[in-house]
Amino acid sequence: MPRSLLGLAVLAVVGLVPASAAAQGFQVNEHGTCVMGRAGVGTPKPCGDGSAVFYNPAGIAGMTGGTVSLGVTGIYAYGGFTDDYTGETTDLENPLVPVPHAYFTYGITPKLTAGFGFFVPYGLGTKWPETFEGRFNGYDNDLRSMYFQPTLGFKINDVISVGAGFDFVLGSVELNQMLDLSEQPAPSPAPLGTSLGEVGIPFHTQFANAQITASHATGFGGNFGVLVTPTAGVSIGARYLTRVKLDYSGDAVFTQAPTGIVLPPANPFGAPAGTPLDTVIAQLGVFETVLADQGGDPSITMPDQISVGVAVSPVESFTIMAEWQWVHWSLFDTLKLDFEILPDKVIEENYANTNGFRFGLEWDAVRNMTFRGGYLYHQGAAPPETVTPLLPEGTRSEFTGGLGIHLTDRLVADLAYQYIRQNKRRGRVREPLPGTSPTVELNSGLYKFNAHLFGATLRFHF
Amino acid sequence: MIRRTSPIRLGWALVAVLPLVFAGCDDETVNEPTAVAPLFVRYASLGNSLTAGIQSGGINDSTQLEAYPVLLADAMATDFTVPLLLSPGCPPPYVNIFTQERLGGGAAPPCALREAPIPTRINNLGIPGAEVVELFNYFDPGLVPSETDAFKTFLLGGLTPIQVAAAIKPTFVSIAIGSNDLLGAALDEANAGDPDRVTPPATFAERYDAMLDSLDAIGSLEGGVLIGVQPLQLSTGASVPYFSPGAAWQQFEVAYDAQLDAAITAATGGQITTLNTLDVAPACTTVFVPFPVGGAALGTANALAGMVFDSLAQGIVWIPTPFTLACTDETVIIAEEWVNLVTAAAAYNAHIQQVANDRDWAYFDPAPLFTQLAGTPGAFRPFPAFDPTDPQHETQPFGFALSRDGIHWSTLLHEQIAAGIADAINDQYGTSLSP
Repeated sequence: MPRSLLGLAVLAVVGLVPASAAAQGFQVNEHGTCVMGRAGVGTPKPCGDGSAVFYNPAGIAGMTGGTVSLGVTGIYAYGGFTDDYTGETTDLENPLVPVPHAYFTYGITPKLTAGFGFFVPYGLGTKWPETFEGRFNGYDNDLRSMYFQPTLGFKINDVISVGAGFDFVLGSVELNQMLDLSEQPAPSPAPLGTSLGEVGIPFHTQFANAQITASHATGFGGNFGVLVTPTAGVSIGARYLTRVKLDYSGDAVFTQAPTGIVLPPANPFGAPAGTPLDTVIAQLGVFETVLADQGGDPSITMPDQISVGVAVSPVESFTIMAEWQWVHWSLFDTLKLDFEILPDKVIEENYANTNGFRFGLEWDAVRNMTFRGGYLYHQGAAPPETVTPLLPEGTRSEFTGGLGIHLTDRLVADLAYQYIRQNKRRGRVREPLPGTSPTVELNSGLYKFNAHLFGATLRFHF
Repeated sequence: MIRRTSPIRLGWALVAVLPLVFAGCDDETVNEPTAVAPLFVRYASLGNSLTAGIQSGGINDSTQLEAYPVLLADAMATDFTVPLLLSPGCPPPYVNIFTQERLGGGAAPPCALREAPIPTRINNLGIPGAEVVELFNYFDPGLVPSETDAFKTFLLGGLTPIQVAAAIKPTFVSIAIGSNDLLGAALDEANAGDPDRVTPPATFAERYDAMLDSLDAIGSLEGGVLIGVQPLQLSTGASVPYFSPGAAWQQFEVAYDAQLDAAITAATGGQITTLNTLDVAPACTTVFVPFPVGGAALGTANALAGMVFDSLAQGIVWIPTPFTLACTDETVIIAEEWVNLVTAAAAYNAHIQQVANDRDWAYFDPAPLFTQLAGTPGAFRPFPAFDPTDPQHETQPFGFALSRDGIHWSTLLHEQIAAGIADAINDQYGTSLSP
C-alpha cells in the first residue's frame, strides 16, 4: 500500500501549480501543516507527520511503523504598487496558489528510519496586470523548484539522532516582460548609438512581449540534521539544506505587442501620417531576426539554509519552541539570462543573507486535539534598490494558528492558518539604464504585500 | 495564597508580546508629490510653440526652460518635466534673423537630439504649430501639413497632448491654444490672411470644448487656467511688428531711397543723384506685410543696389528697374483679411473666457499686458530693425518683448506672461503664486 499511495501522491501534486513567496526571498517554508501552525518551528521538535524529512531529517529517527502524509498549503498573496506621482495603485492579480507536500517514513529498525519527501522550498509567483507600469520588469513570473528527497534517520542513542537526505531538484521558470521601444536603436539617419527615445519615442512604450520558459532543469543537493535531547522535556535541533544550482534550458519567444501609437505626419520613420507604429515595427523584420524565437537559458541558485532551534516542555502537554533560520540569499546576486541571438542579460538583484526568528507553541489541550500558535519575524532579502515587480520583497511578520485532530488512532488531520504582513516597502518599476547598476533613486512608489495561507495535511500511521 | 503562573499562560503571553519586540511598524511610505497647494501637485501645460518654449525660430534646452509653464511650475514648487532638446536645438534659434544664422553656426546639425535619458513622464505638452484640434487629434482632415509636424513625434512620441496628459493625471492645467488657428492663415505663403485657413469661431469653440471634454475624461482635474489668444493688433492701433502695416513700408521706402540717393551721389561725385531699387505700391497703404514678404523685397532691393555699386566700381553705369513690393492679395494680408483675423481672435477669446467662467477656472487675457508693453518704448518696434547699423538689428530686431523671430515671446515676456497668469490663478483660487 505505501508504495502505491506514494506514487499516486506524487502524480497528484506534480500537476499542481507551485508557488508563491511566503518566506524570505522566494523561499517557501510551509511544508507541513503541523509545523506551519507553530510558525514554522520544526527543527528542534519535528512533527510526527514525516515533515521532518524537510525540517530536520534527524527527526524521523526512531519513528516506528510507517507514516504517510499528504497536504497542501494554499497561498493567497495580495498587494499592489502605489505610484508616487499619480497616487494610483495597481493590484497584484495573484491567484490562490496551492503548494503541495507529501512525506513517507518507515521505521526499518528501532534506530533506523527511512523516509521520502516531496516539497517546494523555493517558489515564486507574481502576476500583475498587463497594463501595469512595471510590466517592463516582469508582469507574470513563475518559478518553481520541486525537491524529491529520500532520507535516512539514525538514532545514535537516547540523546542524539542524526539524519540526511539526498535532494533531487526539478526546476522550471517562466518570465514574462514587455520590451521598451524607447531603448531600441534609432534607424538611420540618426547617429549610431542613438536610441528611439532620443528621437521622441516615449519612455516605456511597449512593442514586444518577451516570454522565457524553461523547465526540466535538474540539480542535486542534500539536507542534513541533528537532534539532541539532553534531558526530558528539552530538545535541540539543527539542520542544513545545501544550495542547488539550476541551469535551465529554455526558450525565449518574442511576440509583437501594440504600441498604441499612430504616427503623425513628418515622423522619423518616414511613414505616411496615420500609419500605425506597429506596422512600421513589423516591417522592420525584427521578429524574424534579433527577436526571432531563440534559446533563453536562465541560471538560478537555490540558496542554502541553516536552522537551529530549541524546544522546552515545562509540562508534558505543552511545548515552547524557538528557532533561528539563516538563508544564504547573497547567492542571488544576479539573474543571468543567456540568449542565443540577443546579447546576454544580467539583472542585478544583490540580495542579502537573511535571519528569521520563529516562536511556536503546542498544547495538547484536550484529548485528541492539539492547539498550535506562533509568531515569526524575518528580514527582507532584497536590498532597497532591487525591490521590483518580479518580487516586491521585504521584512515580514507572520502570525500562525493551528489545530491537530486525531480522527482515529491512525489518522490525524492538521489544519493551520498563517497571516503574512510585510512592511510596506519602496521600490521601482523600471530597469536601470544599460550599463548602470540599480539605485534607490529609481524607486518611484510603494509596494504592499500581504498573504493569507491555509494549510491542511492528512497523515496516516500504519 | 500565592498563585503560580501557569507555563501555558506564560507561553501564550510570550508569543503575544514577541511581535512587539521584533516587528514594530516599519512601513515605508509613498513619496507624494508636493507643491505650494494641493491643487498644483500635478501640473500639465498644454499649448503651442509659446508653451513649448520656442524663441527666435528655434528651441533647445535653454529656451524650453525659459518658457512660462516652467516659471509657473517653479512658483508652484511642483515637479515639472520638460522633453528637453540638446543644444544647439532643433532647429537652433536664430542668432541673426536677417542673415538666417543660427546658434552653432553652419557646422551645427539642423536638429539635435532629445536629451538622454529621456524623462519617464512629460508635463510640458506644448506642441509647436498646434491648432486647438491637434491637442486631441492629429488627423483632422482640415489640417495643413507643416514643418512643425515633426514635433508631434519628437516631443511627444506621436501621442497627442491629451493622451500624454492622461498618463500623468494632472490636477491642474494651463491651456494656451488658438494662435495657430489664426497664424496658419496669416503666415500662409500662398495667400497670406486666407480666410479659408482661419478656423471659424464656431468650429474653434466646438473643438475647444471637445478638447476640454477629453481632459475631463481623465478624471483628475481640480482646476486650471485658460489663456487667451495674444492680440495681433496692439492697443496703439499698430500691429505686432511681424506684420508691418503697408503704410510703414511706404515710410520706410522714403528713408531707404534717401539713403541710396546719398550713397549714389557720393559714389558718382554727384553725377548721379538718384537711385531707386524699391517701390512700395500704393496698394500697400491699407494692408499688413508679413516679415518674410517685406524682408524678401528689401533683400532684392539691397541686391540691386549692390549690383549698381559693383557696376560703378567697374566703370559701368547701370540703373536697374526697382523691385516693387506689390502688396497683392496673395502676398499680404489685406484689410478685410486682417479684420477677419482680429475678429476671430476676439471671438476665440470670448469663448475661452466664457468656458473659464463656466468652470470657475482662471482666465488670463494677454491683451492688457500687451497694451502695457505697447506703451513701453522698445518693447514692440513699429518696424523691424532692418538697418544693420541699428543697435537692435541683431539682438532685438522686433523689440525686447519678442524674440528674434518676431512672433515668439522673449524671455522677458515669458516672465511677464507667467506673472500675469499667476495673478489670474491667485485671484481665482486664493493662492499666492509669485513667479
